[in-house]
Amino acid sequence: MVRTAGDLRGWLVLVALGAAALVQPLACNDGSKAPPPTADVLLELLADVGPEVVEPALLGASQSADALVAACLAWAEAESAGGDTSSARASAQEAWRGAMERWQEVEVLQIGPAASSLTAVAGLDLRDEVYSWPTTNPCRVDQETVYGGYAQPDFFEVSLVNSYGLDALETLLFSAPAVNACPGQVDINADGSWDTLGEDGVQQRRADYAVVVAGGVRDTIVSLQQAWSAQGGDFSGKVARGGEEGSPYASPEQALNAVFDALFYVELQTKDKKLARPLGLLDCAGTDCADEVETPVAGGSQVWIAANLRSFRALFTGGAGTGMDELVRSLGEEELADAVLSALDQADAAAAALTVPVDVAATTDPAPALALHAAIKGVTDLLKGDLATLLVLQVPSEAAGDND
Amino acid sequence: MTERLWLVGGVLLGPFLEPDSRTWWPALLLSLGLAVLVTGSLRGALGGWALWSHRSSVLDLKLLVARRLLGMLLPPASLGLGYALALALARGLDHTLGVPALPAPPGWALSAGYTLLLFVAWDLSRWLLHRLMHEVPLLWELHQVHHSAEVLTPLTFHRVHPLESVLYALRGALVSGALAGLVFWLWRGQVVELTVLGVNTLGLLLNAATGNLRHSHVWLRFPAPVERWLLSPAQHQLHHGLDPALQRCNHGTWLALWDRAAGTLRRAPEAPVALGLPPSERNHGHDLVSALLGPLGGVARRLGALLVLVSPVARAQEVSAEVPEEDEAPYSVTVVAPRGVPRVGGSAHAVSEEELERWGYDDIHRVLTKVPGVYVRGEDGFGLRPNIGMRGGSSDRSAKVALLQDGLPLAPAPYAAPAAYYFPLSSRLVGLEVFKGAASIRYGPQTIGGAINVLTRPVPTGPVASLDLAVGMRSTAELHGVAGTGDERRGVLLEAAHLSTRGFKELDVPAPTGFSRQDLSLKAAAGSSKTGLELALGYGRESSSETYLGLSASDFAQTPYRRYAASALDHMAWQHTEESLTWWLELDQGLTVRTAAYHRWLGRAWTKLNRFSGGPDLHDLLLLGGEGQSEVYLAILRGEEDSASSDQELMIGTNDRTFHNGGLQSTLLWSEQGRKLGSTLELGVRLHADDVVRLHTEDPYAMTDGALLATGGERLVTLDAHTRARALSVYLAEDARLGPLHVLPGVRFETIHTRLDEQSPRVQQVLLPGMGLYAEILPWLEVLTGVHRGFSPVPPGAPAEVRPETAYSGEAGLRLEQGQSRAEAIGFVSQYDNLTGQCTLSGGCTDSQLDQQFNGGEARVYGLETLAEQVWLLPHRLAVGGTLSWTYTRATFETGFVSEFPQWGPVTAGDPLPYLPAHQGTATLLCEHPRAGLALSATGRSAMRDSAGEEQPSVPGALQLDATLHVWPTDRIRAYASGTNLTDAVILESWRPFGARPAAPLQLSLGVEVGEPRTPRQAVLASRRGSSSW
Repeated sequence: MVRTAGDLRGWLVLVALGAAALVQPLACNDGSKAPPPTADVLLELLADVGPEVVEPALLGASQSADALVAACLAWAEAESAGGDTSSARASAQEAWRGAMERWQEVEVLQIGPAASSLTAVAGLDLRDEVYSWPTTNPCRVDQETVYGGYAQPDFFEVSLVNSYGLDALETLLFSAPAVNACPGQVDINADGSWDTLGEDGVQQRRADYAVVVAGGVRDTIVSLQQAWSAQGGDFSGKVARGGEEGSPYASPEQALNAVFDALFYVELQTKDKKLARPLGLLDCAGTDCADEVETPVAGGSQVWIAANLRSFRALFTGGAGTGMDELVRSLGEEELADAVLSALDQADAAAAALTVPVDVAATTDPAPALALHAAIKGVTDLLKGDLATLLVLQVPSEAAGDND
Repeated sequence: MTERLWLVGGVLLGPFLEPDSRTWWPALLLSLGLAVLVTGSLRGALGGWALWSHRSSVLDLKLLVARRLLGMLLPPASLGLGYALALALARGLDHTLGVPALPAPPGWALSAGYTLLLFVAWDLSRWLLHRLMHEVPLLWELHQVHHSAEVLTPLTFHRVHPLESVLYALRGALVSGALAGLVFWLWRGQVVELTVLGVNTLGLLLNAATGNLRHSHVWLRFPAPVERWLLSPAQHQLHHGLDPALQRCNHGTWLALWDRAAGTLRRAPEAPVALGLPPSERNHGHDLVSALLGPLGGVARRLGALLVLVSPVARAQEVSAEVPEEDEAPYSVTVVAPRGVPRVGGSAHAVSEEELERWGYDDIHRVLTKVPGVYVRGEDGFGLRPNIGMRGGSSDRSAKVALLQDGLPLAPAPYAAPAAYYFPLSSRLVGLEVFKGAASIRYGPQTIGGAINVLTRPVPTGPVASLDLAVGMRSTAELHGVAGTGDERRGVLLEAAHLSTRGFKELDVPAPTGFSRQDLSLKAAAGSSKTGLELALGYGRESSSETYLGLSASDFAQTPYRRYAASALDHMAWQHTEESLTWWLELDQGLTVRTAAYHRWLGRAWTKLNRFSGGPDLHDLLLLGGEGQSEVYLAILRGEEDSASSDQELMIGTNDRTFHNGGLQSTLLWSEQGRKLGSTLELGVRLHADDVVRLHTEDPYAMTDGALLATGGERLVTLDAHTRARALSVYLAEDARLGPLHVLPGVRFETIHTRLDEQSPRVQQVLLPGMGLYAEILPWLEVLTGVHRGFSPVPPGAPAEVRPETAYSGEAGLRLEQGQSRAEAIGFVSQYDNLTGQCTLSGGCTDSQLDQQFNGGEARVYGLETLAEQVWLLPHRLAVGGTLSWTYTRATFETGFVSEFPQWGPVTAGDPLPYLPAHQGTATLLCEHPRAGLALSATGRSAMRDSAGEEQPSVPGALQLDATLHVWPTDRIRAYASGTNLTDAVILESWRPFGARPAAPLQLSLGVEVGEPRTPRQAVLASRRGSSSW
């Protein structure tokens, strides 16, 4: 095998190269490695979506829902006891604001069970069970208050989502005691049953109703937690194992699409429905645009938008784990990742600068709300444009030719 | 450490395990097989130990190992370069030139084109770089390593200096990235490279075929004409020749084009040549270190020389002087012959007046379901909005079928709006002709599936008068009267028909359902059989409280005949007029000319629920159900929940449309018949124009306490358009009889001008050949076959990238007939180059998509139509008969794609076409006596998909039983009872337009007809002609 000195030198070189290759993986661990292959980053991203983003958000929502249940119970007890119930009601309102803010972080994360069964893979519509905006109906809630259907054990089975959830709680907790949202011809007004209840009767029923609804909100959030947890439905694992048996996603790329689709909440809901509509920028010709605002009675629409943006950031960055920004960087798109984060910073700053609800801003000083709309558009334009291009574009693979 | 050993082992074995490597083990095995064929033995193919142990081969292997190990230690030179380039290019073009709106050819064509483009670009770039490796002295220093091989084995492919590999990798990244970016920009990611195991198909195939013989001892030449296009292994081995002149030829990898263009192509001689480099010209020895470092030294020397401005030898000049002239190998140019000879022929099926009368159907769908090869999609349960398809063509609004009435176009605007519909009342029909396969090219413009010609009552040659009155369940009333007179010279016929019912659906709120229709026609003729004129005038109207809105799956299961409150305002009204004047002339020489001028007008307005203002899509909502917000929207449809936001408002639209069509049509028939030979030549010419004016508006309504109340919101105009079409059609068909054989060639030509508003007109011209053969093999046996090119034009306003639907269709079959028995079986196949989907509102499209046509790419439809009939003549003037027909159809897409066309969705290759049952059949039992007749039928079909890309939910299979009983107390009076859907089966017919649509439940009717004397005996005989084919 070794016939000349040259042969010997050649073998030595090969042995040296082989030895270097064997130790090379060690050298890579010191952080000097080249960018990891995209497929690995994708799998890391998918593995982190549940544990690092969705589950923490659900935990926060669950804890605030517990507080909401307790506050509603306290309000109901205060109503039963009679006397001044304003403090207990105010506490319940405050707990609702907390729960809403936490839930608005989950709103963006409509992946799998929370998402619509009409449009999403493995969607179970559970999001609507907690919060069905813009499908709300305060009059329906007032009717239920009079009918007392909430006290029936099958209330959640036979009722529509606009009778319960955080949107119904807004009506129950914040509506003026003597006022209902139904027109005069609707039965509770036409037959006098609303008036018969009287102000105290209405508030007692609203408080009792709120206890039931708050419990339903908490239970659904717990269901969602169980659906995602490794000990329960392990949807986290199903996202992580896209393409494998047991996962509803046919491939990791389809699971990534689900994550990517969820980000579009900020485009379709936050930017268009929560901002553009009340501001009269979109689909609002001839009607009172400001009425289209989210939570018009309780206010706080600007807070929910800020929460949506926080959640968008968490999903984009993967929380403490691997996120879409790393995926983008692994594709050599440092600038794009930075641009999205920079646009997000600007949107956050614009959200912080909007200190009144969107409908109030629309009728008084719309400039901060318009600035927020523009800032969010800056984020979503990147989402729809360069980011989408980046994730869709593929470079073909070549069969090896001479000298390749 | 074990893990790392595996890792290193995997890297070293990569060239043999990775499909994109030329030395992938299956490719090596294939090459070995080929080598055995060339050398005649395995030993000869393997080459012997001397070859593999040669110092050159050992260096090949060492260089391979060294390069792989270096690859592990150093980051790939092209990491992310291709991707970055593609991304930068796509974005740069986006930002500077915008997103182009280019016509998008079908997916398969784009992918095939892209794959070919990549292959050619890669090949060209390799040739270019390879040539530079030889021409540029600096690069030649590196490339010498490859050329110093003294023997060639497949491993010599890997005998490349690492720096040269880097250059080739950069080349690949640049080419791939540039093309990927450009193609992405042009077609937005619709283009996917055709790959096998992730590798370019063409590259993989060529690598596997002869790639490994390029570096081998096996001398394989291609025939001279081939070597001018594709480089043979021997041509590359010649490139490795010891003679420097040889090294300056054949730089290409696969294609010889580049060398031909550069004048460096050389044919392979008969015998191999000596290989390698002269010792004086090589910069390295025979060992690994020398092979790695020697070229670097050479490069350094060259660079040093450059630095002192000493110009190296201009090799390029030498090359141009030294390369010998290429051998001018003789080769022939083959002109591909046109595809067959134009032909026409094909099968046809007739439904006689007796057959129509026997069943007395008011619903054209029920009549056609009994015809093999015809499929219908029910919608309202009455066939008011016919959805008829044939042999795999979409049934949606009968847009893919040529519809005629007495040979003249029946559809309101067959060119400008193919999906527009009008059908005369079934009671007015005295026959139907269904032309399938090649037989359909006489008609048009739809010539793929077939044509249906409905026949109305002819002008009588004597006095006629009849009155038919029937009443049935659900206030159904039918009246049909005919009065006329005539003789051999003139005649006149007046006909009136009425049909009304309150329908079988129960609205949630008090509001009308059902429909009322009236037809009135007048025909007058004067002349003789030699020449004459006929004038036909017709008027029709309909007022129907019909809707697009069906039910959710759960509501359908509980109350299938329910109608939601949200459809309470839905109403269709139309009026229709038709006029035609026909002139015929028969000359003595067997020449007949028949010319008709025709005009048809239809004005209609359909007010109906279109959508929620901002809620979910109605079709998805009702198909999938869903929970949460979906339940609220469903409750609003039912009237159980009020609209509480602008999103929940119901958009009720009025689609106001006016259609005209008119034209001049002439047919010339020239027949010469001898005893054994005969010829019938038919020439048809039609000049046609049609148009449609559409004004579609929508008004918002709120559901309030179960009632729809106008919100007073702004009326939206969703479509305001005028589309026009002009067409000239010519066909020529011949029936040449040669004894028992009929040869039926034919050809159709159409030129179509269409225009939407003031947009640029689209001009389509098409030549459609066809050919049929028909032979009477035995007195009781006939065989037929036919093939034709079918076409369905692009409607006006479609984007420029939309192409017409085209297909090659063929059929073959046989018929047996003896005594009272008859049977036939006809197999058919259609290979669609481009199946198209025509957007209709009823099919789930939006106003903005209306009439748009979507490309579905290649599809294949094949199947078998069978029919068997038997009549037994029994004592006591009784006749008993029966028919069995069964159609099997397999219709699938051949490529995968994602379509916005609602009935396709995300399609993968092999998905079946929607609303096309694999099995469909009818069994009938007839029992006739001169004074009475009984007919029973069972019609069934298998399950169908609602959307091609979605397996579930589907439209389940169904079986319906119908029966009629006729009694003739006198020759002039017929009393009858009929029942449809006798078992009262709940049948889901369709999920479109929105939600589950039921077929009509049990319907019983009683009627009496007073009319012309009739010989009951004819009825029995007619039963056999009732459903005949030719």
